[in-house]
Amino acid sequence: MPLADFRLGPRIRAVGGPVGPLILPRSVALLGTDYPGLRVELRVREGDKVAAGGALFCDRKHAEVAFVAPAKARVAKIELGPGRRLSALVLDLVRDDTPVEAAPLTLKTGDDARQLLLARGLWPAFRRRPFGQIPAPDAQAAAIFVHAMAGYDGAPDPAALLPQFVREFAEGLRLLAHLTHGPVHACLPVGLTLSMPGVERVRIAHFPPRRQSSMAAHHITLLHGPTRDRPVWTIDWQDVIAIGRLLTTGLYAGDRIVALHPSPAAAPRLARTILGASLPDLFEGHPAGPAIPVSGPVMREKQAHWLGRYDTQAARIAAPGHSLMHRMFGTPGGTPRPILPHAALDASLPPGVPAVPFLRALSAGDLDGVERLGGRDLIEEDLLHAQYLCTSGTDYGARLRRMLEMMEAAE
Amino acid sequence: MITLRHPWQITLVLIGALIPPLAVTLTERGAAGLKLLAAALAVSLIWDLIFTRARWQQPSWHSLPAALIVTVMTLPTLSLWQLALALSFGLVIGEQVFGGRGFGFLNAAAVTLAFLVFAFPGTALQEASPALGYATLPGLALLLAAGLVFWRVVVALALGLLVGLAMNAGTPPGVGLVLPAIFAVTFLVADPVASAATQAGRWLYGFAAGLLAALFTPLGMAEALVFAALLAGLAAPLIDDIVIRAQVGRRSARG
Repeated sequence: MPLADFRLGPRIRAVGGPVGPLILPRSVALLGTDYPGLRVELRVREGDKVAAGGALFCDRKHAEVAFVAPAKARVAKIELGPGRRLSALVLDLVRDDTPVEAAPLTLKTGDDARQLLLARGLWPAFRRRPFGQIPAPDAQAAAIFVHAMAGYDGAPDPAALLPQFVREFAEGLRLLAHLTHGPVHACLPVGLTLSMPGVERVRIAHFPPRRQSSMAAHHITLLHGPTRDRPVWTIDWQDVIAIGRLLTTGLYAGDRIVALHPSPAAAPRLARTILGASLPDLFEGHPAGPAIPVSGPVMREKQAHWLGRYDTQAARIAAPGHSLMHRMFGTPGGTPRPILPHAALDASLPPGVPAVPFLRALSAGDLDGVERLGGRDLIEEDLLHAQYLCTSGTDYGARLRRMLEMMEAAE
Repeated sequence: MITLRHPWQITLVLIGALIPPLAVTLTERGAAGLKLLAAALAVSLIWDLIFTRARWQQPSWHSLPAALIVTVMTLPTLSLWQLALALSFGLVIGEQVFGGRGFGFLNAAAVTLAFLVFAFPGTALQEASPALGYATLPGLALLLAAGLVFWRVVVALALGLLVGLAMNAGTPPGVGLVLPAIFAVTFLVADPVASAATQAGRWLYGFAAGLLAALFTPLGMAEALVFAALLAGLAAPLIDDIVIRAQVGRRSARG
């Protein structure tokens, strides 16, 4: 292990091991918070039955972008916010044991690949930078980044899992190469070598599985540079496998491997479940644990009821701030706490973003400062480590989103 | 390893690092040292509580380590009113007017000590004994491990100090000169809030502080380091700004 790796922060503790059987939740949901800025046009009504991969709604600006049901279900509830923004669309799953015929798909052109992903609900797996939205159907990416690393402690470990799905992964990568004239970068942890014939257009890059070098923003900074004039798309390795499964079987794959942490004391385990699963359903059968379910990295510390679209871990945590020390020293105050610099903060943001000046600019609402220090290339999830490590307790993700909205409006 | 997520946790680590040097100081001084310590703690607590209550803030309790640093670095013969006045100035003007520790850019203890030397001509600071230097080492190790002292600052500072002293005297300085400097370096110059916030800036900041300290050594090592900490701390935001401009220039040239 090279000495310089220590500067990239501590190793990410990813979860490997056997994957448990499919946990079929009673209900799943598609959440508006996963798709910033999305306004929807509904294709179903409450009570309708939909098949797995059946369209539920589409983007009002781009009717080609379909959002689909991850499994056979009945539409239970549709909640819309102001301006036809999606709040939540809840589906009650219907158990479906009828065997479906698998038939591989063949694609001839790049346009075919695009149409397939758009129509079959896998387009929303892409998020573009800058700004983090789902790319427009006709948008061109200067590069596509496949994130095949555990980004946070407790995430499923691609180093352990990816070798089991090499064929589907390679199929997915081959399709991605049709979508862009630029390079497709597959970013893998150091030591993971996959034998994938026929994916010559894909550039494989290896990164140490440490805090800073596991972030997609780190890979983009090092391999691509600023995204302002050369936008990139990112996609998670499990979504690439889902694309590969769509190509080899012709069926929409709405299941993902997630790491479940029923309590901080218990060992995490891997299980298959459906996108957007209800968290109480996921933890059913586990002994009663701490009260607060969290979707995504544990350090997000935000109570959730559903598994987020881009989340691959779920946990139950104790309510923060109830230790004896907290009660003795910290009185609940309304004013923000200070940002006290310490060394761990420095490796919590992608390279080239000076952590303390950047977090100060975000706290102060200094749009110019945020942009100058590289904020345009970041999205909420890039700030999670910094948010966790910073003494201020500020919700930097929400602040960054407001800044990004302002930058976007100014364009 | 514990993750530092609250200001009071950082204060606790800082106090832990200060205990051995404080113990050495108190055993060297006896009862007079205790009186000074009690007064310093009382003054700092009063200001901390007044300001945090007025602002509905969580107290960070950081004025306590500031009081401990000041106690170690002042002479036991200092009168209590002078101590109280200087500490009040340091805590209020150096820290609380900005909104408390972490919102400003100065070290309250360094401001207090500089005020003492300027406001009361003839006042000297305590020249650190070698024992104090040795007693600071575990604290320095703790702060480095906790990330509350940046190794870049310490290394650059040592370099700057060595270069500066070598230029002054023509010969490299011995251990006898370095040991008394360790306490002030650890708690005043290498303070993460007063230091520069960018990586390159930390090298520049440390080196500049070392050179300044070497320049001021005729005043006495303690005074030299206090003024070096204060001046380098004042320059730190400028250093960061220069570093960031240079980086942004490089980035836009690349993009």
